Amino acid sequence: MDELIRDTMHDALDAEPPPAGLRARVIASVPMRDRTRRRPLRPRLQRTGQFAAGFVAGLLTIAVIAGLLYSRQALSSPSSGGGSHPASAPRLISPEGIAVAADGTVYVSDYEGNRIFRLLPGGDLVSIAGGGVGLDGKATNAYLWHPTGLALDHQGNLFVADNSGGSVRHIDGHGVISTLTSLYGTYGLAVDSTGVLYVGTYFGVLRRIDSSGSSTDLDLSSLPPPALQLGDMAFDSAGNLYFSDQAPTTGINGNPAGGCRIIRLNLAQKQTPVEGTVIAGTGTCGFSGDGGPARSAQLNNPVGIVFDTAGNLYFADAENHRIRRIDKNGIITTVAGTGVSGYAGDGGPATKAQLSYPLGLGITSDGVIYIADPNADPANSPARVRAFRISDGTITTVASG
Amino acid sequence: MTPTADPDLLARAKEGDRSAFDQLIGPLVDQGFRLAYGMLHDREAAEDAVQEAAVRSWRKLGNVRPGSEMRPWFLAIVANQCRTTMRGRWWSVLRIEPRAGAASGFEDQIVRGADLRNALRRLAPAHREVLVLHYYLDLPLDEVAVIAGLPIGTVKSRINRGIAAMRPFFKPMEAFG
Repeated sequence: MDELIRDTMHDALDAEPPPAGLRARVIASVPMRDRTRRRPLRPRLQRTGQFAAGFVAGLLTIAVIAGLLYSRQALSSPSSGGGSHPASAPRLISPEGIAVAADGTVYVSDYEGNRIFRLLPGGDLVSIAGGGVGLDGKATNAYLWHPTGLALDHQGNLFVADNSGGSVRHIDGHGVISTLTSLYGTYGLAVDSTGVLYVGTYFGVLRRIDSSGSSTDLDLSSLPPPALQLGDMAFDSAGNLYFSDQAPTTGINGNPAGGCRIIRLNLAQKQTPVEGTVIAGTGTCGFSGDGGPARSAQLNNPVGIVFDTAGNLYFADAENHRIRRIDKNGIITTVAGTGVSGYAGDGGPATKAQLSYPLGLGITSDGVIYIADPNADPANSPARVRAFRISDGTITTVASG
Repeated sequence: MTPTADPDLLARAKEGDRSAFDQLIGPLVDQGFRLAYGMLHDREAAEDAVQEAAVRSWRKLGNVRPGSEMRPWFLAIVANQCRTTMRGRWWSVLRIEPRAGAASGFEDQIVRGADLRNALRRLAPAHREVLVLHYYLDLPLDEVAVIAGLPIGTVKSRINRGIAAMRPFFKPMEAFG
């Protein structure tokens, strides 16, 4: 009987074999990223583990004391330039995306903290989304999983690329969160002047979502190889969409996506495939080219992109630990960071300051660029949000974890 | 005993190395699809379930100890995802009603297969799951128990109940056996 059942079940179910290429599709859909070049666990997590070990050993009293000591230490950790942190307030762990509203309000996504913060003028960070267990509803009760890019529309709606959560979330002016679309590996977001949202993914998908919710994936097949790994995005004043093509992470079959480039898309022509131009990067990751044409320069994991009111493009060159500018003539220049990972130089010229794996950027109308500076060495220094003033070229810290 | 998680691969996968993750989970994807299809009887839903299970398994990779067996761990996540799918609000609405009646002895293999799928569909999901794991994926009872999260006695009981429920389907086939 067993053999009969076995044979007939194979007859029935073998008629529906796994689809061709399923393995590659499934593995590619996992929204992982190469953590080997990113920040290690923050020290507080390691201490939490020690705290738990104390419980396991039955040393309840000692553990409680250790917890109190830890709390004190956490509260007194270096936070130059940042605001004070109430003991119960969530702290910034790994800033990734930044968006600045028309009124100057700054929003920061915390990739490893799974939250969205609003930056208050004094440097305090208030959690406005994430940290909960829910899906939709009150944003502070919602669960976010590795949020990355942020974008605002003209009505004050905030969009969040929930990277590992595989979706784009929408937070309205009342603090209510909902899921706009499901898409694996979401990273960069940008809203055009008509309110249409563009979403980019690690897997080379660029999706257009209009205000009615209908979506279209743009045909990017005309762009030169390698395959794309879309980072952050921004529109210029003429309505062209610029996106960063990040550094390749570990891929399948030794052919990972990502070309360390910045690409401009001409969306006005509405042609298929979309017409695109590489405006910076050679396709090989590295550092070179300052003072010359950006098209001949090497970048290493370009991420956040913003435009100033004069039409200059600024981007975070993450693995070069720099912020670089491409002017209207296509000339590239470092405006912040020495190229050495670290934290130094507040109050002075940004070109003498150190950054550590800068990621998202946001810009105010008066020319202040906020920089997510997550810090590649969290054991010795917390993550920060820095501010670079274009007018005088100085840099300061405005918030820290 | 199935292949265990190689410590080096596991460590690399936990660091985000996609090729290491592929080497750990990739060989199990097709088997995961067969399980999901056996439980859901819908190719698209099965593919979604495996995809979601892969994402969940990456998320939970930190729980896997070096030397653990990967197959029951991953298939348990697939099975759990299928259960979640079947609990979904629209699942019962969207499923196509099964055909009535069993195959006659002269119907070809395809029709017989379709009838078995219909018979499987009529089973309680809990019975369907253990039958697919044991008879279709040829997994030993102890591994089925791990995947289903059940004591082995309960697995045997569910298999027996599942077979009993399908006996009207198997009887005419036994006659031609």
